Amino acid sequence: MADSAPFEWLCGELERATSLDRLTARGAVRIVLKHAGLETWNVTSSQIGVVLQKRLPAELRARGIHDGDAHCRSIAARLAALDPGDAPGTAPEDLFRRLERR
Amino acid sequence: MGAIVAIGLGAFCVASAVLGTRLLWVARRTRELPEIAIGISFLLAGALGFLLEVVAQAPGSALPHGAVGPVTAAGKLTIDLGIAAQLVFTWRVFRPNRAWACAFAAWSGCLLVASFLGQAVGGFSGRQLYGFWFWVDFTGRAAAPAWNSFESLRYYTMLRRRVGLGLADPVLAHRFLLWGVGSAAGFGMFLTGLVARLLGSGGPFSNVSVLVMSSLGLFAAVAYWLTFFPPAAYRELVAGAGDAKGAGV
Repeated sequence: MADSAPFEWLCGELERATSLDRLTARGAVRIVLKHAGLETWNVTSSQIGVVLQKRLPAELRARGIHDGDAHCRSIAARLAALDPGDAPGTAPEDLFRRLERR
Repeated sequence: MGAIVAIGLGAFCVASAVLGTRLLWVARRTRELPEIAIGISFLLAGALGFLLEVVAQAPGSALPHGAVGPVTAAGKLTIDLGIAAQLVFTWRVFRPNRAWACAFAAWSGCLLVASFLGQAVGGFSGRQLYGFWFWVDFTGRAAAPAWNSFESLRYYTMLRRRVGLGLADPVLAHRFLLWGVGSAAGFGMFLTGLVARLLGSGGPFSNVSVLVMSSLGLFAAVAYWLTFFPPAAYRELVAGAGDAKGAGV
């Protein structure tokens, strides 16, 4: 199953910005998303932004990357500039949101 | 006891009919498969099919002997179509990109088709209903609400984590909890029939099992209703509880 474009983008950015290799970077992001209650296949850009701010810095510190906060801020700034936008809703909660607009 | 049973099963049937109609009404605008599937499921399995099976198999049924088979067949067909719609709903909502989920839904659907054909060969007689095809039918039927419940409750735990990060609305998260426990109650209704049969207490529609089923039906009806159409007072109650929890952190 394909992972979402924002997930792939974040993993690529993390790999470039830090000393983490591809597998470790993807593993770190997967763990952070799981702890945040998110899934790799439908995580959105705005959710990635929150994870970058609130969860990823601690995960990077735990992996020995001491300037993880700065890396996350830098990636978050690029994410904001890039503004890939969120894809139309395919997550389970989108059904309930649609029903609310009856 | 008759009144309690009537209230429980009646509430389940009426709530299913109203919910199914309202969901299909919403689907007219959204044109999305999940709304269509779950609307059909409520109407066929929860309202029409369940009613037909109860009428056909309840002790002391007023149906003429010759009508029991056809009414049972109609009830089974209607429920099976509704269950199949629920399988499609769960697959498309919770695991749309997973091949195993599609395969599981298809496998469960095949069990329903096989059991219908198997029972049709026996003319939907009472004995046939409790034979080999009963187990095939039960497996196919129970899989849908059990899977739906599991996925909803799993998603609820995920949304609870997101609430802590400000990524999800506590009321929305709570609706997945309601949907999960409502589906679990639906699964319990199937299970009750099975347990009654295993205990030999007079078939799945004996008085005790019907009482338990009606209680579960009433519970499921309330949970489903609050899931899809929560009144403002209920929303405020859940949101208030979420705020109090957040303030306590």
